[in-house]
Amino acid sequence: MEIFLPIAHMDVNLITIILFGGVVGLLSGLVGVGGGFLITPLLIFIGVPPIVAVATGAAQIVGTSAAGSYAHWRLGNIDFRMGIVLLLGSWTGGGIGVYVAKVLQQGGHFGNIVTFLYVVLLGIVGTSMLIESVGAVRGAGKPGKTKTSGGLGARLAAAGERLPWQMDFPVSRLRISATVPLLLGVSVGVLTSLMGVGGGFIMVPVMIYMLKMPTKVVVGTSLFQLLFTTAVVASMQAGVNHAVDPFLALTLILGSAFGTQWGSRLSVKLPGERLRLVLALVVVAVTIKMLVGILVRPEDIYSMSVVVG
Amino acid sequence: MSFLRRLIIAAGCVLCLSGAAAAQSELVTELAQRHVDITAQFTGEKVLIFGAVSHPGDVIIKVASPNETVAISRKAKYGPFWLTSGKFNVKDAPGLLYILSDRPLEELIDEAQRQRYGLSLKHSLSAATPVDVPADVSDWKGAFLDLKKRDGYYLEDGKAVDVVGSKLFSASMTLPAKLPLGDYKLTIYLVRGGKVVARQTRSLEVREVRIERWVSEVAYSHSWLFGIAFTLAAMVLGLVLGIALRKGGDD
Repeated sequence: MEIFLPIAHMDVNLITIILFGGVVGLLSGLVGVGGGFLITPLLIFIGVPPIVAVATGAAQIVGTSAAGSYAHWRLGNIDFRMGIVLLLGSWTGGGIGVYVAKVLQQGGHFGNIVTFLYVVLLGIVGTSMLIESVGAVRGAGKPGKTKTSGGLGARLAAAGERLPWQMDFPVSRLRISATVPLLLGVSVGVLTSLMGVGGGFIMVPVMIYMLKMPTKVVVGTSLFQLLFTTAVVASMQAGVNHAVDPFLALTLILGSAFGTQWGSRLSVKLPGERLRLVLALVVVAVTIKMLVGILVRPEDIYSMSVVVG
Repeated sequence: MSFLRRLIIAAGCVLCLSGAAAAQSELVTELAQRHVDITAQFTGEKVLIFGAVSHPGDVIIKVASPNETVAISRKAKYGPFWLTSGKFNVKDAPGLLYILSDRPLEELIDEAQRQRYGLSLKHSLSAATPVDVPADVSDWKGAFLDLKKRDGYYLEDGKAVDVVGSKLFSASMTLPAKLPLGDYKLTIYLVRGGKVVARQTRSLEVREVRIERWVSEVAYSHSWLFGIAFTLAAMVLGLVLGIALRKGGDD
């Protein structure tokens, strides 16, 4: 069944989009990652203009992270003080990113930048996941060597103590300069605008390994900031770049809501290491497909789209 | 099709008679419909044009949609990468342009006449203006025409018009699924001895009657309101779906 997407200006198969949402939801339910970094490339592969894919990706994350944020709020897992400081940063970064996207789009470079950002980022994430999960699958049983987060993390923490605006975050049992979460927020906000990702894959490791926040507070707080970062970025993408496609976003949210439920039920039965290996393979496959897309000579050198408005 | 043909001939006879009543009129034409309604299920449509001529001749039908602006982007090789490089707009070119005739255009009229009446794809683009064409794009018109032809928006067909018994003619054109909206102008030319001896215009209105149109208008004219309202809606939908599905799973 074909539907016409009013903003992307193209016909898509409804089932395909629901499946995309479902697969990404399934993965996030299974492994506990957001799926923003898979949705955007998948949409670009089927011909959605990159800026629409990125903006709609952000809107889709709003829908998929709402229920989880609510659950963590009920459980008291959100450090609101930390969350607000992060949000001040990510709203700033998101705002900058949306206008950078506008300038790039007008110059016709947005698609190139998005592709490169994805190839680099997914390449790093996919490769490190692959190495980690292959190791885990092989060494399951052996006492795994715990990650030593000394070195860099400790030095950064020491540097953090000398920064201005020291703040107490009682829920996270942490005293740190507000500049650290602000900067973290800014970088995640920029990524949300330019790539349509929530940024959990940066936020969570930084909070756990560098800030040493308690894990359950990390999950709740990062989900909280992710929800309100993507909400503001999605609104701005619609306001500034006219790039949020409502039909596409709603279909994706619907698909991923079901996918997440199946995923979280399946995850109880399936071994975690193998799941992470599967996800790593998916990420690497997407990276390779994107890379091939810019390495192989395109069939048509020119392409055309109607300018609306 | 034979029914259709009989219908055309019958309609043509009526036109002939009324045409005779109109005395000097050399060319009488009619469209089988005045509107094309684009609905959610619209996958293209066949539109029938027919008419009668008082004396034998050749018929050329030109169909042009309202002008629009298109953006053309080009890929170029940088090191190992194929990247989008150079993007330019073409303003004031018809979104759809069909030139249909019963014989190839070159056999019917010469270059000067074609230029005068805009009777070729190339000659119909006189108003089209490119904006900010990169210096190294030498033939923007060629690239534009190729893309339009590839997607079925531009067509030159020297066999699309059927002339029956040198008095009646009919042509059916198949419009693609994604149509530019607005009033389409159809000009029907009667050509004899290399000269245009008569012409008539008709119009066909392409209207969109679907929710997508409304959504896209709101998203452009009230973009901030739309963005905020839609984001809140997405949040509520996600929340409701998440809670409902979780509850359902627990039962």
